[in-house]
Amino acid sequence: MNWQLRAGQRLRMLSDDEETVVYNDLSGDTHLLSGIAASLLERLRQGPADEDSLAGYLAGEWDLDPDMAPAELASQLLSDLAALSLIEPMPS
Amino acid sequence: MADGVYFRTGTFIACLRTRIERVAASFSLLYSDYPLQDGPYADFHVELAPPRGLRRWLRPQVDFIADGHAPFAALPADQAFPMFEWGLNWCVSSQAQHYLIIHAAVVEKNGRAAILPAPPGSGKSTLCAALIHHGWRLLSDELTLIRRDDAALIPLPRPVSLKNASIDVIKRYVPHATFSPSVTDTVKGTVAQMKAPANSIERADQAAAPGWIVFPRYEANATLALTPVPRSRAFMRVADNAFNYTRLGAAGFEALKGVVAHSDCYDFRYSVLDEAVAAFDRLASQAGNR
Repeated sequence: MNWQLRAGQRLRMLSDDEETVVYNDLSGDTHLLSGIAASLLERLRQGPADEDSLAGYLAGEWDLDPDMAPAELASQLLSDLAALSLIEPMPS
Repeated sequence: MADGVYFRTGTFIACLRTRIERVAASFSLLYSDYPLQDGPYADFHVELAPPRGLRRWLRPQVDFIADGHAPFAALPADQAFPMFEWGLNWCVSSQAQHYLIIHAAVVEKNGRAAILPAPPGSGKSTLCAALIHHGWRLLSDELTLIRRDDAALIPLPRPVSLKNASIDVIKRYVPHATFSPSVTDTVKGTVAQMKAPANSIERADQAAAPGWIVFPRYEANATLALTPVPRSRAFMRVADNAFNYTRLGAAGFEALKGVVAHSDCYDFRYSVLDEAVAAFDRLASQAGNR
C-alpha cells in the first residue's frame, strides 16, 4: 500500500530530543507524536511512499534490529497516523 | 467614580464607573499608581452596580457590566471588588484575540521572563506574590499575553489575587505590601488582592523575552524540586492552559512555539517561599551568565 500526507493540509512542528508537537492547519488539531512517528511523517512530507520502503526507512533511520520487526512497526505507525487524519492511503 | 475613571493597565485602557463605595475604596487603594487617561476612548467600559428590579431590595447584590452587557450572574454586594477584578480579566481574555493568552503568571528578571502556568490551588499566585517583592518584575498574575508576531510577553501588571491561607502567608512574607480587605464566601473561598509594585507598573510598556516555563506546585513540607520538562510536553501543557490557543489556529501554534523554543521548562515543587525565591534567582543568574 502506498501512503501520502492527507491532501490540503500544512503541518507545523516543534521537536525536542524525543517527541514532536504537530499542528495540522486543516483540522486545527495539535498532536504529540513520538520521535519515530514524527520521522515517518517527515519522510512522507518529502513525497508518497509504499509501506515496504517506509519500513526500510525506519530500520535505517532508527537503527532498528530486525527482531524489532520494522514492517509491523511501520504498519502500526502508519495506522496510527491515519487515525489522526495526518496521512492517507493513496488511491490505487 | 460615578462618571467613570479612565486608567491604563499595560497595553489596555479601561473605564470604571461605580457608585459602590467598597469598589471605589479598594480601587483607590490598589490602583493609585496606574496612569490616568483623559477618555473617552477605552478598550473596556465596565461598571459595577446593583442589579435593577426587586432583587436589589431582597438581598444586596452587584452586577458586572461590560460595554452595556452583564455577562455574569449577580454576586453578593460584598464581592463587588473581586468581581471587578474577575470581570476585567474576562474582558481581556475574551476580547484581546490579537494575543495568545495563557492562564499563567509571568514575572521577569535580568531581561528574561518566567511563565508560571498552573491550575487553581497550585500556589502560582502565592509564588508570584513572593517573587515580585524580591527582585522580579510583575508582568501579570493571571493572564500571560504573548504577542503573535514575535512571541514577546506583554505586561499586564494588575493586583495579585490571593485566596484562603495564602493571604496570611503573603502578609507575613511581605509585611509592607498593601492589600484590599478580604472578602469571604466567594466561589474561590476568601480572597484579597495585593497591590502591584510601583516599579512593575512603571515598566508596563516594556515587553519581555521568554526565558523559562515553570509549572509550580505547592506541597506542604515537600523538598524543593526543579525537574526539567521536555519542550514538546511543556508545549502541550501550556496549550491546555491557554484561553484561545485553538481559536487562533496556526497563529496560536506559532506564537506558543516561539515561546517554548526559547524557554527552559521545568516542574517546580516547593514548600518554603525563601527556597522557592532562591531557586528562581539561581535560574535568573544562570541566564545572566550565558
